[in-house]
Amino acid sequence: MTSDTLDERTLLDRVAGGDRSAFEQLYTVYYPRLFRFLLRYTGSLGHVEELVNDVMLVVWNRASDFRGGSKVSTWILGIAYRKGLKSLERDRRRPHHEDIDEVSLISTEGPEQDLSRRQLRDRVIAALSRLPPEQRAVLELTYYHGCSYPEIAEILGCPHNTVKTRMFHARRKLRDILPELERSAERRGGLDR
Amino acid sequence: MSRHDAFHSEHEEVWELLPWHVNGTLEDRDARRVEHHLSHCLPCHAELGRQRELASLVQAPEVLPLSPGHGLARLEGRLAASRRLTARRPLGWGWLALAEAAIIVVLLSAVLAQRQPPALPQATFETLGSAGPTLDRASGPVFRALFAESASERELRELLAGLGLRIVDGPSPIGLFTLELAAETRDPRAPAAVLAGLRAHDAVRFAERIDRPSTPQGD
Repeated sequence: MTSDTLDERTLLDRVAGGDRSAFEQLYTVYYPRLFRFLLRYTGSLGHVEELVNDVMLVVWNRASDFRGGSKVSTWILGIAYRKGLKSLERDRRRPHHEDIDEVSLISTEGPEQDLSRRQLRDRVIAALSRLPPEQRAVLELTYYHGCSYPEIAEILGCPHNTVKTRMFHARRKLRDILPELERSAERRGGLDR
Repeated sequence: MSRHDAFHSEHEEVWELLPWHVNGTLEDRDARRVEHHLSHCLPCHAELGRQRELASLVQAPEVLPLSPGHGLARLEGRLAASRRLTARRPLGWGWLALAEAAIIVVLLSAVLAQRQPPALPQATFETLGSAGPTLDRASGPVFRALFAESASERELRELLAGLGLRIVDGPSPIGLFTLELAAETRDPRAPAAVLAGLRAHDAVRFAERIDRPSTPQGD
């Protein structure tokens, strides 16, 4: 993640002043990022749009609280993480929690060398869905949102070492789940890059 | 520490840092340390390849049901209401929730006290969650909701339309509306999402799904 563009900080300042047009621009920029993060973190499509709106409502109401101690994106993703966490806790209390069955995408049939890149990607998504949410969040924030580990620690509200440990465990589990990842890396010249 | 121990200590630290070497966010000092170690550690070099491949697969474009325009439209009413509420609340959110809960209890008590003569039979008492005869008129999942007095008709219309709800009865003497989820919504996750949507809206003071004798309750 690069440092805040002037635009994002300016937009947030305008949102703090009650500028609806600035809020709409910020919403449009963050909607896909938040949608993706919350979908991957909570593993449930049913509530994602409502959660995105919960996050952006906090942004609308609390924009004036942002002091610039972190990037705008770190602040907003931190709000998203807490909303996602609450949603997961609510779901755990429900007797019949219904997840998207991404695990069902995993197929054990067919020679692995025939897997297309698209299929491999589907398998990675399915494998990610089998990780604990906290490990999923770290991996997603690192590889999709491009966050540094200190930024992830701030978003999750945990020590740096906890971030590294969660990533360590996620990598180990993915390695067990996805042996073809290594072969794919070799085929694409991953070792020589 | 022996050279062997020092190598293993460095190896473990670098191994942990590899994902952030891949995404290019390491501080200069850490980045230099990782580069140096990679130059003479084959396992770390192989892991770097795997992590690069994983990163590229995670970053690949995907089709998601994104609709920022729809999401923003659903948020519109909440934005206006929340700023109005925030503006007249110097006590903060915790007090706000307590105060609102207290207001609801007081209002309900007052209305019930006015409307219920002492000899009213138990069977006609209306509670927030009672099902009532309107269930017979609805074919889809049914909810009951109590709206904020400050909510405008337009705000409520947009809220209900956004969630795919229609009013089948109400307001009751204590202000409860009975709402039905559109029959065309067959997604089994929909009732839970609708209930969450109602509860999350500032204009909604109370919402719950009503049990049907023949259908399981979603929440």
